[in-house]
Amino acid sequence: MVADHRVARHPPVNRWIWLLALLPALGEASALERGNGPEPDSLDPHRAQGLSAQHILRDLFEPLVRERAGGEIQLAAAESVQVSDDGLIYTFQLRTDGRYNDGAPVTAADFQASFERALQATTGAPYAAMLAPIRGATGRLNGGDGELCVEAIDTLTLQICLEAPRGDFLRRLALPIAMPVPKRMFASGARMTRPGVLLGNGAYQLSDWVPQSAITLTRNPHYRQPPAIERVRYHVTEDAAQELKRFAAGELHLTDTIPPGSATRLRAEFGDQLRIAPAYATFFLGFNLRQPALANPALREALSLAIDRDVLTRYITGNGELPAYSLLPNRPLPASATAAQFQSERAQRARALFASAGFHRDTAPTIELRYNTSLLNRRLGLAVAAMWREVLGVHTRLRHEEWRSFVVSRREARVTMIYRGGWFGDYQDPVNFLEPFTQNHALNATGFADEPFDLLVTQAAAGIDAAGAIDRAESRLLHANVLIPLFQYTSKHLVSDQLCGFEAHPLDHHPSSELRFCGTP
Amino acid sequence: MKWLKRIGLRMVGTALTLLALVAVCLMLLRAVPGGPLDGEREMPSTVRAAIEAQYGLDLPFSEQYGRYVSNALDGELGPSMQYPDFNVEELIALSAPITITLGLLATFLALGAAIPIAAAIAAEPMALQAARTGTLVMLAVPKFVLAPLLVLVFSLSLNWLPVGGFAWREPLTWVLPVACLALPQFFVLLRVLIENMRAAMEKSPVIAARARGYSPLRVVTRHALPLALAQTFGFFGPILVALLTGSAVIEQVFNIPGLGRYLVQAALNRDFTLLIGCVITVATITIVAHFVVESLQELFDPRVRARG
Repeated sequence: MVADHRVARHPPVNRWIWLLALLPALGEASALERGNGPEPDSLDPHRAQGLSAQHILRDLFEPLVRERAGGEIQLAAAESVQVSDDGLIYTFQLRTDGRYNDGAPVTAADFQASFERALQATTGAPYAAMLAPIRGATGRLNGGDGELCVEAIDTLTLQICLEAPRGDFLRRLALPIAMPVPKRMFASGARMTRPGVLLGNGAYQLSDWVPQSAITLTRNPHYRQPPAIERVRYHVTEDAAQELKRFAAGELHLTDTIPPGSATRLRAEFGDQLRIAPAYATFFLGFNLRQPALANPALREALSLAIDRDVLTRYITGNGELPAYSLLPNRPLPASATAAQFQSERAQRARALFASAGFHRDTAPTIELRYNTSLLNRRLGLAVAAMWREVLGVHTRLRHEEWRSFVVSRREARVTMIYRGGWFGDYQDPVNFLEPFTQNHALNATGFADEPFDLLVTQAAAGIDAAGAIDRAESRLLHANVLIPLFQYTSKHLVSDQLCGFEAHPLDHHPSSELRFCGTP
Repeated sequence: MKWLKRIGLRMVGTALTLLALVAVCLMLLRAVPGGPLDGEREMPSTVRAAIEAQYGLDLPFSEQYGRYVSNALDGELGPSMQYPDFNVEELIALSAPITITLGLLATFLALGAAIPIAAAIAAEPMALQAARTGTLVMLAVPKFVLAPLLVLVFSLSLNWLPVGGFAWREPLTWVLPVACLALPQFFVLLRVLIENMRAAMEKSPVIAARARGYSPLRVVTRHALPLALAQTFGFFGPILVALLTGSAVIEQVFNIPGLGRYLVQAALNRDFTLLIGCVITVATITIVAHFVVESLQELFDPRVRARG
């Protein structure tokens, strides 16, 4: 009787309970749901380019070393490293407990084969040039088959020798291009990155990949220290606004970014869950020095001085970006006194320089500013144009192009006058920022050619009085008014308060193995 | 025999259309500035040359076209340039079923709702005006506004449905995208059906049925509605095609790994293998959908059948 009574009192529950089966599996206690931006281009460490791929690769593979938030190098797959006195020979002792997710040990021969594959032109590794300091690498990159100075001395000892000393070499070895791709994976061709085929030595293994939707990783059962979180799902989140909604609905624990200009609103709504930190990256405007209209350095300096960076970062970008007066991030203001002045004084000096260059408000030239199509770039372009107009009377033609067209215009430097530029450091080393401005560098869209600058960069790269050389090189670049640094980028994430262990990193590296759900060990 | 001949002719026409489309896509991709290998970082020239050779980008147009068509006839559309870990046919095999399923569900939803509602309210004086207003509003509100609005209400406020994502085993993830796809088409169909229902009510077979004293329900469902549906068939083709070929906006907003999204991304990335693969698929769906609608129209409408 009692049982009958219960059924009679709760018929809707019994009738509709099957609907529960339709509910999506949200908030699985052991799964970390991460927003990851666009679809990763590849999970082959040698072929991957995009940041979204690199985030996942750092979970799947472990290079010889890692770069910590403070810039210090941490041993990863290697147990120790010895550098010869002349800085040319690096000897790595690998960990004895390094294992791929199939249980096989990680060997020095794997690293050797992996480096050789990365440098084969047919592999199509976009970042292969990062290994160029290795002796023989340039020859390989140029299509030769000369000896590459990477040798497996024994199972766990790897020796690499360089063409010339490089202060940033260890940092380069922390990049995906230097992750170990075991030789037995090569035979699978493009399918080597599929679940069940991909072999990684990282804390996680690939268990599912639905293109344009999500990539699921689970713990690598053979990793020396099991990560706290059992399962990680990287969601494709191309649209920051949609990603924000998914976070607000509790579908994501961690976002890749936040929508432009939303920091104030999100701070009010989410409080400490909004994490903004300076990134090792700078937004700048570059001058194409090949254009006769920009030949006058006084004009270029006037254009730089006329821009109020505070206004740009406060009202246009609005996501905690820091005004920049130098190319290198996290630098004190450069020696040039002008950078520290109030904007009114800077504007005054800009007018004086403008006049000294032979210009007048009524006869001000027309400048063209070219940028890749995006709402933020457009707003920045409009604001900069308004400042130039107000301070100097300069007319600005804004030209926007779709990304790939813009990249070609910038590289060919035929029509470009002033272009939107930006640099995200591959690793935390100033040389990485300065090298693209050396002569004949493929990314030098400014046409800046200065022998002393090149020598200083070479000196800094070799680690010879590196700090002094970097200071002098950057100073030469800024005094030549080759570019207008506008602001230092920030990394911006929404981090659920259920998630612990998230720390700011200038390169935005947040391996899942460093995260855990609060309340778990 | 007549049917076989028609299908044969249609297939020849389809093949020629697809061949022309491949040629146009290749020509356009060669003409636009910026290539698939142009990015923020410059890759070593030898690496670039090797990739170009792998994809045949270094070949003259005629050779590139010939190679592409020959491989396509063997069922190989090549690896995607942007996502080299996948072959184009794999990406299409994964994305097209999602787009087609959502499109079919949206079609059924729009039709399934519009037909009975139109039949029920066609005689109401304000019905046509209401449907016209609804159509105008739905056509005026872009999908990128409608979709976030629905998300705001049903996901963030009521917490009934997920904000985004798609999974075959989680039907709740289909609800909002299907609703967004179906809503505008529902109003279009409703308006057309009401107009055609009213016209049908004036036709002699319907007047005769009423004169025989049949019940209003029977007059509407057995006599007026078939006439109105036959008149509306012309609209089904474009609607079906619009729904089956996917909406890049809806797929973007709801993070659905469908065909429409690949199509847009492939164009932006100059991923010519993926782009041509998507174009061929969309074109095939379009042709097949039109053929099916035309055939159905012929089957159900004796006037069309008589015209041949």
